[in-house]
Amino acid sequence: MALFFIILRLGVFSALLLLILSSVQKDRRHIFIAGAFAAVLGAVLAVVAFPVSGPKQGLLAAFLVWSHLLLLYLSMPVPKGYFPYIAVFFMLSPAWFHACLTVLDSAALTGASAYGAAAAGLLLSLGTAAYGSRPVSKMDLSRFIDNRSVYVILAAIWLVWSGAGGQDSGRLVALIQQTIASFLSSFIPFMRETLLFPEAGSILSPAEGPFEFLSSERMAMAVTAVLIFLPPVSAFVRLLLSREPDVGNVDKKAVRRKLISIHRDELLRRGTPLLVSFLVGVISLHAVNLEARPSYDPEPVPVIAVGDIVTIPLKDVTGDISDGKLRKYSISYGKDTLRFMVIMRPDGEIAAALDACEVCPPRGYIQRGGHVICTYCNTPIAVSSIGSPGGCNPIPLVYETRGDALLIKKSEIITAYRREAGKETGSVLR
Amino acid sequence: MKLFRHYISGEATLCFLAILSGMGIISSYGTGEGRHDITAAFQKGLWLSGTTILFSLHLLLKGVYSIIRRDGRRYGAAVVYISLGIMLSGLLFSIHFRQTQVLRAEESDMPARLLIRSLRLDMPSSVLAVGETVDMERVSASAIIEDEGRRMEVSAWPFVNTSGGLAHINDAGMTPILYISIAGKRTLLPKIQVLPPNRKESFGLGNGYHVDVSLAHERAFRKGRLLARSYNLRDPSYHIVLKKGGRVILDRVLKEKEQAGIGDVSISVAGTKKWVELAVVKDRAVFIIYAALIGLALGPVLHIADIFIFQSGQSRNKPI
Repeated sequence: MALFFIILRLGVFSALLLLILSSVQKDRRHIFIAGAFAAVLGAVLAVVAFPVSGPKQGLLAAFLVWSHLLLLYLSMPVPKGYFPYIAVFFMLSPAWFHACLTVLDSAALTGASAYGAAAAGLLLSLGTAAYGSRPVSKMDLSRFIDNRSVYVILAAIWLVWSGAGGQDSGRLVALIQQTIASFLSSFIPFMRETLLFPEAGSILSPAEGPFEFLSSERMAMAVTAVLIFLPPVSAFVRLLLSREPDVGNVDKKAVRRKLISIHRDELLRRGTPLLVSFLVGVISLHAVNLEARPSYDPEPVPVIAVGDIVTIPLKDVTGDISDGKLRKYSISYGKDTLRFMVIMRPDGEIAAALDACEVCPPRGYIQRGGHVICTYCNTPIAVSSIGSPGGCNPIPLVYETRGDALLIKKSEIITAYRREAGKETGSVLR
Repeated sequence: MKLFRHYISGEATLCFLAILSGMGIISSYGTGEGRHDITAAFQKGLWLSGTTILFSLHLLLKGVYSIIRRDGRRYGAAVVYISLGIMLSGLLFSIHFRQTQVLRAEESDMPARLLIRSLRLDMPSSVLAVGETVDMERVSASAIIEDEGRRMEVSAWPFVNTSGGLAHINDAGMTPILYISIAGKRTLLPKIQVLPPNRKESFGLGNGYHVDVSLAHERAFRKGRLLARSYNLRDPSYHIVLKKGGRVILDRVLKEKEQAGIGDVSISVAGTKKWVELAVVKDRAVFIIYAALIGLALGPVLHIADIFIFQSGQSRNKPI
C-alpha cells in the first residue's frame, strides 16, 4: 500500500510539473509527457524487475531518478546564470532519493506484489495527467511564469507537496536539512583528517571551533536556508533589474505611459509567484525548525501551603528535576491562582520564579530548547539566566532545599508578585 | 568540438553533481542490503572514483576555457572551477594513495626513524566530570623530534616535513606505570590510557586475577541535583580494583610511589609517563588541497572585486 502511495505521489507530482512546463513551453508538451513518464515507468519497472545490490544498485537508482529530472531540465533552455538552479536541483534531490529509496526497499520486500501496486499508482497518475492537462493547457501560464522562475515555483510546490502520504511523510525541508547535516558530519571530519588536523582526542587542536561549527546542526540549517531562499531571491532580483521598455521614440505620452504600465504589470504578475515561493520557503523552514524544537508548556500542578511553606518535590511522577524541563505549579490565594515555575539550569542550580515578568501582562512562559519564551512578547530568555531579575526575565523567588524537596514561602510568592510585578493580586494569573 | 562544449557546459556540471550526489546519498543511506560506507565505496568501487575524475577534469577544463573565452575578464568563477577541480583530484588521490603510520611514543622512544628528544605536555590542573559529560581542558602538546640528524619541533598543527612523511601530533595523554607482584613475581602492566575521566581499563592477569584501573577523582560535590567530580591530571590518583574469580579483594586509590597489597599480591604505582601519538602521513596531495582551498577562498573575492572595482571603472570610461 505504501508503495502505491509513493508511486502515486511521484506520478502526480510529475504530472503537475509537466502541466506547468507544457503550459510554458507549449510546443514541447508531448516530449515532456512522454519523456517523464517513460523515465518514471522505467525507474520503477527496472528496479522491481532487476533487483541488484551494492554500488550498482546505487548507480542504477541514481541514474534512473536523475535521468527523470534531467530530462525535464534539459528539455528547457537554460537561462544565463544557472547557479540558482543548482540550488533548486539539490533542494529537490533528497526528496526524490528518499522516495526512490523507499520504493527500492519496498520493492525488495514485497516482490511480485510490487508490480501491481506500482502499475496501479502509475495508472492513476497517468489518468490525472491526461484529464488534468486539458483544462490547464488552455491557460496561458507563461504570463506569470518564465524560464527563470519555473524551477523556483516547482520547488515551492514540491515543498508544500512533500509528505502528502504513504510512509514518506517527512517534511522535505527536514529531509534536506538532515541530508546536509549528515553530509557535513561525515565530510568535515574527513577534510579535517585530510588536512592533517588532529582528530580531537584529548589534544588541543587549532581551528577546532571552526571545524565544529562547520559540521554542526546550525551550519546545516544555514546551508538549507541558502538553498531554499537563493533561487526565489535571485530570480526576483533579476526580474527587478530588467529594463523598462525604451519609449523614447514613442510620440504620444499616453502610449508611453501605457507601455510602461504594461511592463510594470508584467513585473507584478511575474514577481508574485516568486514572492509566494519565497514565503513558502520561509514558512517551511520555520515550521520544520519549530518542530525540531517543540514548545513545552506543562500544565501547572496545584500545590497547597502547609503553614506558610510550599513544598515542591524534586522528584515526582513527571520525573527528576535534573531533566532540565520546565515545571509549573499553581497556588490559590483568596479567589486568585498564582503560577510559578521551577527549572534546573544547565549549571546544575535550581531556579524558582513566578510565571510572569515585570514588564508584560502575566501570560506566562513556554520552554523551547534552552530558552523559555514569554508568550506575550515572544522574547526568548535563556534558561541559564532564570533566577536573575530584570527585563522580561521571570521574577525570581527565594527558596531553600531540604533533602529531596524545594521549600518556598507562600508569602514570598505573594510579596514577589506584588512588589516586582507592581500588580495587585486582583489580577488573576491563571 | 561540439562534444567538448557539451562536456564543459553548465548542464554537464549539473549532470555530474546530480549523479555524484545521488550516488553519495544512496551509498550513505543505502537501500535494502546495499547499505555501505561512502569512503569504502570510493575506495573499493571505480564508479564513484571514475565519475569524480571525470567531474574534476570537467571543472578544470571549464575553468581554463572560461579564462580563454572571457578574454581576460572575470577570473573569479574560473578560479573557483579550477580550484574545485584540483581539490577533488587531490581528495581522490589522498583517498587512494595516502599512507598513515601512527606511532605512540614516550620521551626518548625511537619510533621508526623519528627520535623523540623531548616532550612537553601541558596537562590541565583539573578537569570536571558532571554526570556523563566531561568538561575537559584539552592537552597542549609539542615534541622535539630528531629525523636523520635534523631536529624539529612538532605540534598538533601545522605539520612538519620529515623524511618519513608529514608528521604532526594526533593525540597525547598519560600512562600510569603499574607493577603487580603475585607470589613474588613482579610484572609491569600494559600501557594504559587513563584520559579522559569516566573511562576504565581492565586487564586479566592470569590465575583468576583481574585488575580494573581508572583515574580517581579528587573531590565530589553536588551542584543542585547533579553530581560533579574533579580530577587532577597534573598529580593524578588511580583507582585500582583487584579481583580474583570475580570477587573484589583489593580496592584502593593510589598516587605515584604508593603501593597496596593483600596476602601475596601487591600493586604499586611507579610513576606516570606522558605519551604522545605521532601521525606520520605520506601524502603529497595535502599541499595541493591546501592550495585549492586558498583558490576557493580567493575566487569569490576576485569575482566581487571584478564586479565592483574593475567593471565599474570600465563603465565610467565608456562613452555615453
